[in-house]
This record gives sequence, C-alpha cells and structure tokens, in this order.
Amino acid sequence: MTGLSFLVLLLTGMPVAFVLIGATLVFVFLSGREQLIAAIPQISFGSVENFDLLAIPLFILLGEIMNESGLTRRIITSVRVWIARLPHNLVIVNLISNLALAAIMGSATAQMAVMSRVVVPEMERDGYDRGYAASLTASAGLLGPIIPPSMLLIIYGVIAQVSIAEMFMAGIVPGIALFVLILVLAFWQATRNHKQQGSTERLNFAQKIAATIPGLAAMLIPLVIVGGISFGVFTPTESAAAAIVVALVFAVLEFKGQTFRRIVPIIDRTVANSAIVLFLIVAAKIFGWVLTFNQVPQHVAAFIVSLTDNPTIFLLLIVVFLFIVGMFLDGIAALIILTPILLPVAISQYGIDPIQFGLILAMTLVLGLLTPPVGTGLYIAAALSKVSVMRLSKLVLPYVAATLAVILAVVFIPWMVHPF
Amino acid sequence: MNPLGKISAGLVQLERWASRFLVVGFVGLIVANVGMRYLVGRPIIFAEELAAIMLVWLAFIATSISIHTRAQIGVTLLIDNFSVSWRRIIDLLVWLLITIMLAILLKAGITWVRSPVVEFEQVITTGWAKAPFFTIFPIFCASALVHSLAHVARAAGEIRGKNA
Repeated sequence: MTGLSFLVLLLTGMPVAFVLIGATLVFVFLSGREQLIAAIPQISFGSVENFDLLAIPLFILLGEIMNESGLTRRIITSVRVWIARLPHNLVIVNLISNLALAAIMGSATAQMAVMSRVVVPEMERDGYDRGYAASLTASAGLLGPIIPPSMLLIIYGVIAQVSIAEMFMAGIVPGIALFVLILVLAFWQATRNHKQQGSTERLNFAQKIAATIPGLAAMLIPLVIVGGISFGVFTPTESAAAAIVVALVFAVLEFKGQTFRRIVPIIDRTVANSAIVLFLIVAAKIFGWVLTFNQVPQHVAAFIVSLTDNPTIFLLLIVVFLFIVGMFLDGIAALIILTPILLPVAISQYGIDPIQFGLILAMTLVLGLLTPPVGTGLYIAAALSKVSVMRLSKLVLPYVAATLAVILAVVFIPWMVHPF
Repeated sequence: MNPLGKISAGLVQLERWASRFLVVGFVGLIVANVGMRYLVGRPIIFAEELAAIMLVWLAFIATSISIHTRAQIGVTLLIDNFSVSWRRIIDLLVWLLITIMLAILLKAGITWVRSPVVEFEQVITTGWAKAPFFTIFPIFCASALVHSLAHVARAAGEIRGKNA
C-alpha cells in the first residue's frame, strides 16, 4: 500500500519530497501505528544535522559566485586561446571546460545549464549542428557528479558512513576515463559530420598569456578543493568554504563596488537550489525509516540472494535496476532511499567495497539526468539550446553508452576507485 | 492577490533574510575555524557543531521558501497531458494534501519540542540546551502551512475564475 500511494502521489505531479512524506503517513495510518508520527520531527532534524552535508550549499554557492563573476567564462577563454588553431577546438574546449567546472561545482544540472548557455551558441556559430553541440554539452555535464567535488558522493558518504575524501578520490580515475571516452566519441562524430576547421584568428604569445592569466587565476579554485582535500589540509566542507573565499576575492574585483547588490541574488539562488536537495534528504530519510520499519531491506536482501551469489552478477543487476530507477526518480532521492537498502546487502552478502559500490550507485543514477521521461539534464539542455527533447534524447545515446561502459569498467576493475 | 497570498509573500521576505544570514553565518564560521586552526593554532571547537545546526535551520527555512515559490521538483509527465481544467483541479488537490501533511507534521513538531525528552539534549561542545534549536521544525511547519494554504486559496480561485 505504501508503494501504491507513492506511485499515485508521484503521478499527480506532487513534489517528490512530499510524495515520500505522504507515502510514509499513509503507511503509518493504515498500519494503525499513529504514535510513529511522533518520531518524524526528530528524524527530520537529525537527517540534515551533519557537518559534511554543509558541503552541499557551499559548493552550490561557489558555483553561483563563479558564474556571476564571469570566472566560468574566463576558464573557457583561457583554454580556447591555446588550441584555437586546432581542428574542432570547440569540442576540446567544451570538454576541458566541463572537466574544470566538474572540479568546482559538484552539480551536473548546474554545470549543464551554464555550459548550454555559454558553449552551445559558440559551437553553432562555428558551424556545428546545434543538436550535436547540445548533446555533447549535456553529456559532458555527467562529469560533474563523478569528478570531485560531487554532491551525490557527499550524500552517499554521509549515509554509508565512509570517508567523503575517499569517495572524492575514488571518482578521479572513472571521471578521467569518461572524459577520454566522450572526447574520442565527440571527435569522431565531429570529424564525420562537421566541416569546422578551427579559428583563423591569430594571437601572438603575449596576447595568449594575457587571455590565459584570468583563467589560470580561476583555476586556483579547483586546486584549492582537490589539493586541499588530497593533502589533508581541509575536510571537503572546509575546502568548499576556502574556495568560496578565493572566488569572492575575484568576484569583489569584478563587481566593482556593487558587491552587496550582486551577492544577495547569488545567496538567494544558492538557498533555492539547496532547498530542493536538503528537503529531499529530509523526506527520503523519513521514507527510509518506514522502509526499515517494514523490513524492506531484509526482504530485498533475501530476494537478491535468491537470484545470485556472485558479487559481479549482483553488481550488474544493481546497474540495470538503478538505470531503470534513474529514468523515473531523481538521482538524489533514489540514492538516499536505496543506499540503506542495498548497501548492507552488498557488504554483508557479497563482500563488496562500499567505496566501489557508492561510485557505481552514483554514476548509474546520474545517467537518469539524460534519459527520458524524467531526465532533468535533458530538459535543461533542450530548453537552453532550443533543441527538442526527443531529438536530444536520441543524440545523447552514444554518450549514455560510453558512461555505461565506464560503469562496467568500475564493476570489473575495482582498482579504478583506489588508484592512490 | 488573496489575503493568504499577501501574508505568504510577507512571510517569505522574512525567510529570505533569515536564510541570507544563515548562509553568511556558516561560511564565516567555517572560514574562521580554518583560519584559527592554521594561523593561531586554536580551532573554534564549537564551529562544526554550530554550523551543522545552522544547516538544519537553513534547510527548513529554504524549504519553506521553495514551497512559496513552488520550486520543489515533481514528476509532471502525466498531468502535463491533461486539459487546463483538470490540471487546475489536480493542482488544488495536491496543495490540499500538502496542507494536510504539514498540519500533521506541525502537531507532531509542537508535541516534540514540548516533550520532556528534548529538555536533556545539549550542544556537546558548548553545553547549551538544544531545545531552542529544535523549534525550527514547528516554525517550518507553520510557515510552510501558510504558504501551502495560500496555494490552496490561489488554486481554488483559479478554478472559480474559470467556472464563473
């Protein structure tokens, strides 16, 4: 009945977080255990009272400051001046800029929105098909939740009680593998379908240096984040706060005396975006509590164990299952609901490393951003690039396949998540 | 705008300022803690615990704002294919259900903050009583309830406007 009420409420278009709370209340009332409602406030408060979760609004704030102060555009410009004469340089610029932004933002949808606005029109001006440019940009956005910092990996780390710094490090090799795979695929498509041959504009060395310095300064930010965490200087949350300070220095110079007027909307957007994620965490925690009360994890464990006792086959089944779930449910909500159910099975029944499992979970769920019918990333890229969702969902298919290939590599080569 | 809509709009202004202070507050606290640790060699011991509590407050205030602005995400795949009249009816039903949920949570929240259980909880690093911090839950439920009631009034008004 809880499942049915969940489905009915979901189909009414009710916000997902309230769907989860509604399904919980339906269970409580139908089971005649109204006294359980008394536990909800405490569960809600406790679900977000976590220092590590502070990294979420902080990384969102950092991304907003980067965009508003033009730092994102500077990174793109500084990459472009050095490879302007190469064929299909904008394909490389698109991917390298996405890689750099992935090391700053931690949110795929934010990254897709920024890049769709900035790079897609430039690629179109250079003669690329708009659909191709939009599909490449949306797909490269998948690097966001894999390359550290990643919102999904932070949430998984908190739920699974594994080190977030270790989760971040685990994302580096699969993220770079995905970057290389998308680059090869995009270049092959560009060579086959487009005549673009690079800019004819010549810049001398001094001009190139002048254009690069602002971008290099902006690149200090990912350095602070990744370097700070890997050398143990900062926790992930502290690294975000330190990066905000660096970004603010540039922003204050850029805003020229209008800092307060321009910072307020940045904070408001941060609050708006954080609300969606944080309330989903609260609601999913409440719903997860009902699932645990119903002994759903035990039933799921018994069911999966009856299917296979092979860890690799278990992981492949999980990939298929999550791929389907990701098509219909927001990745963050799915991660919060499913991790407490699947992780104990993975560890106790199959002896799977929680870091490897977390990365597989996050990477597979993130694919849901590009798959209909609920692919948020797809809708964002389609709306901002003015390409139909249907066309875009076909164009991203090769990149979805590339991401699946990397997920399979993580399944078969656990070393990829522990390279250091 | 209906009277509830006006109250909701006024309340959200207050919430926006509270959320801004909280964001600035916890960024400042974390930066100050890192600075004190590396520059003075004396970290602020309560910084992490207090920042985490500020996050809880931000989460609930931000959620209340997002209810006012209808920014929470839902799956509208099915209802997007319905006629405008049906979409309005479903919109009203959804907001009515959300209002009922918030009313139930408000009652639970008030009972919780008034229960003797919370009296003994403390902020570990400062020794402060934690009970005042818990009040954010019923505060959130009450303010979100105002916003959702405003949506109920708006949705009902839209249906009446269509029928008139």
